Amino acid sequence: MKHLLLLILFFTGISGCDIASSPGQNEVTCSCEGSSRPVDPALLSFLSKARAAHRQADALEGQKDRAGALAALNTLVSGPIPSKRSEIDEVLADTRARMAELQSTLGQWDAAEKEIERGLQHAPDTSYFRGHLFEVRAVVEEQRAASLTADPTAAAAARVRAIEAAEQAIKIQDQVLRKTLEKEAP
Amino acid sequence: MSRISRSFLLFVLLTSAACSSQRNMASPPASASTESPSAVSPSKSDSAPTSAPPSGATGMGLAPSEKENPSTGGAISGQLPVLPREVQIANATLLLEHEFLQLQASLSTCENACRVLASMERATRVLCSLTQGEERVRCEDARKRLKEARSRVRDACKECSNGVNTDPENPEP
Repeated sequence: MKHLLLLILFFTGISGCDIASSPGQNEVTCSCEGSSRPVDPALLSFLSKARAAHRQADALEGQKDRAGALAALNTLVSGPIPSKRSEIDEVLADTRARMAELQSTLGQWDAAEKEIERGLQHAPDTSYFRGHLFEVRAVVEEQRAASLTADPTAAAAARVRAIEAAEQAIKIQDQVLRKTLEKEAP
Repeated sequence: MSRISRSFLLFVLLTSAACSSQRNMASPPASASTESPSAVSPSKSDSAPTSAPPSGATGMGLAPSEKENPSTGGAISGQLPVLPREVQIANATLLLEHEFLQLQASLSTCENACRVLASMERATRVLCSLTQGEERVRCEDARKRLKEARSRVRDACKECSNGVNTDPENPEP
């Protein structure tokens, strides 16, 4: 949550004057005269909504109300999404990953996998968010495998998927880490 | 974090101020248009394209019309020109945005590295809990990668505020 909050703060900061709103839409834009870069109220509104949804999900998860937390996050992903931007995609990928985790704890394996697939569409390139989605897939499949005691074949298949997803997550995050720390190196 | 919060707050306030100023200019009193011909026209997205911004607004200079307009604090002989309020705000906004981005980038490297490390650790835990027999080599490979990653994060960041272990010799997971 802390990271998401930082992410949202960061993007809200950037969006102050950075967002070129979609032309032709009836949005109230606010042009920052000096930079000719208008504020996009739709983006700010979405980020604000994202923060509120995750906070609500935190509170509900704290009360062990996982279905409620899932519903809170669903309002974000099923609502209007502003024009396509990388920061929006990152928020959505992170939210889908969290939803998949929640669904997994509810035993909704297929729904969790669907969330992961949707999340991966928002994180097509090597990034923390893509790696995190594979990591969540590994956890989901591990839990699915553990639940399939009555079906050893299906359990073995889930186990294989979990191992492959975990390896993929490790590979992606290793690349992300190298890139992240390369930037910092003198 | 407090520095980021302060910068962010300042940035938002300045941006809002700049925007308020812009909104005020978007619906000036009837006489205003005659006082400042270079004033920005209303920039509603569904209207005609916004006119070019005044030349002074794109940099540190003043728009010619503003130099001539005493009401906006134009140049007076013997004194430094006073920039119009909206130009000052816009310039301050840009400076602050730049500072904010630099600050955020410098502070986030270790936070990013630590969350990546946490993800690697969780994935390794899953992998090692599921592999057995000949597959064990896959777990050992993952552990080796994790160990190297911890070492790199420790070198760059020492510790992680999210509680992730950065000790390369840590046998877990």
